[in-house]
Amino acid sequence: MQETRDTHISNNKSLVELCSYGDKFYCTDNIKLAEESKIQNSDKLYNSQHRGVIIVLQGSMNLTVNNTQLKLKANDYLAIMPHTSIELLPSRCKMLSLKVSSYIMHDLYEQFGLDVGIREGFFTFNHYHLTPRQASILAHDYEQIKQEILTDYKSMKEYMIQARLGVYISHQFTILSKLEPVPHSDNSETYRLFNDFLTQLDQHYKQERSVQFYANALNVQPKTLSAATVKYTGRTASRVIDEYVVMRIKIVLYNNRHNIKEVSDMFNFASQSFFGRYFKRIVGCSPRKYISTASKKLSK
Amino acid sequence: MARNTNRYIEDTTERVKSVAKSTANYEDSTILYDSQTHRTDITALYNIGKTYHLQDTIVLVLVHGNIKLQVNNKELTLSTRSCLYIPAYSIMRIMIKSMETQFFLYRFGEKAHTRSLNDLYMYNDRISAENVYYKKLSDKEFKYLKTHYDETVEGINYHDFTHRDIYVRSYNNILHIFLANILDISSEIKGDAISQQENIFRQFIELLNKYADKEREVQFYARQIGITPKYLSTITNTYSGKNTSTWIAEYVVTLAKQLMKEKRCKIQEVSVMLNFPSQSFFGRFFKRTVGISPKRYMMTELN
Repeated sequence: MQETRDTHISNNKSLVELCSYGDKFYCTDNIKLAEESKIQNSDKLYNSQHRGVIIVLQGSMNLTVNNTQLKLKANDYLAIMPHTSIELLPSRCKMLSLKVSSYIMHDLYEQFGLDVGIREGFFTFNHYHLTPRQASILAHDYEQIKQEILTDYKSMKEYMIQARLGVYISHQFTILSKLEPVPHSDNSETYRLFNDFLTQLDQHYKQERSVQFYANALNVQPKTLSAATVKYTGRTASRVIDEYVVMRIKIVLYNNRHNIKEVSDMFNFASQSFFGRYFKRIVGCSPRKYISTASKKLSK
Repeated sequence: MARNTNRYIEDTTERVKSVAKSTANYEDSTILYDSQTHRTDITALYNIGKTYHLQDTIVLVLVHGNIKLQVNNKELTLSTRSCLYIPAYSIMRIMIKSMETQFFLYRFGEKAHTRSLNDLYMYNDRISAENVYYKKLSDKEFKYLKTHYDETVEGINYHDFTHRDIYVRSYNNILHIFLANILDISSEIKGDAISQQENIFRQFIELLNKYADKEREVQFYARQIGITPKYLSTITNTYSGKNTSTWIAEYVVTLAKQLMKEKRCKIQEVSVMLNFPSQSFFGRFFKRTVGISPKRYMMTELN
């Protein structure tokens, strides 16, 4: 089973994917498009390995995130965690979207000593109202990131993009630390179950990978749990678990501070070969191959 | 030149602060000066004709004018729109400057500088080698640096900022990467992914630096890294076309030549210093690698 590639809102024809760097950074917007900034309906898009941000600068944007319908007005900010499905609905707005792979984000947070987990708040998305000035500061940082992606550097381009992302993070944290997110409108039992499941997953992913375990912890039938994840992500519970675990493994591998045996023990795999097979089944390549292509190399 | 540190004026933060007012200062480790904000002349920072023993890493961008200066006994002439990188602990003296000079300048204390190097996995010695880097800037490069400077100042002085440390740190990293790119400091720096194999190769070279005067066994180096000698040899072959034992032999011979040439050591001394069991064993080792005996080498090379 190959890892299904994340789909992104740039697939929408009314938006332009202006640039991306590897599978790590994506910048998409319609700020400079001359047309009347119409956004068309899109299919359901799935985001499993990246953190995303949408900022609306003008007009308003309709979309559903994990089947919850949202209306973003001008200067609204939407943070999207990994494992989220998004559907764009017809709307008229100027917006931008930044998507960064979660292991890069995690690495930066660690570097900066920011005490934030993968799913802060354990919600799959967070919605904030910003002031025009705050939105324009973040939009400026976004432009800078885009510029660096478009610039040719002899070396260290990835670090340059990361450093620009650091500037963005410093602003984002300064701004959001003083704001309360807009409350979520979906109060259904299923939604709560889904979020509780993600919370449990975040706590136990290192030891447990079976749906049965999580269903027991939440006092529901595995079937009920799977129904909830299918409703919000279009994926079965076991698939969500696998993708989450693999994302965490990738974070560790990317840091490249541990060898594969250590990582295999860290995630409670019976043997290194079992770990290798598990990784390969979901990602499509062996851990060693993954390290040599993706990881950040530090020679000590 | 006799090195008498008392002759140099120590460029401590306190001293310079009292003379020239900085435009922005973050934790006394990222300090920015420019000629516009406080109408500061470069001579307010560094007097003409005086020799300074710099404590900080300095990046100077000359916006307008000419400055002739001496850094680590190297003479340099800076002209309009040029950039100069001076590593920490350099000796600097401004000799002549034109009437009107406009500049902006970054001073990085050890804290800020080493943090950037760590963030970027640059080795200390790579960027702050003995060398001083100098470049005439293109319009685009100049604009980039000017914007960078202005935005750094703005961020440091912005009143309502809960994560200023991340901001300043990121901007410092940006400057380091940009300079590494435009000043060609970066021939060895690889920010982009390098393979596990290259990682091992680097480890090997580092170990060789450290242990070459004691150990010449491939087995020893392989064990230090935690791999088999055979694998180590494969890697050195891939990256340099030489196998591990050749690497070690050549490295040891380089050390030996150095001792003979620069330190004027006798063959007996060299063989003891490099941990050979006997002079004859060293002689055979040397001959096998270089092709002539150490004695012959000394006669031909040193006379």
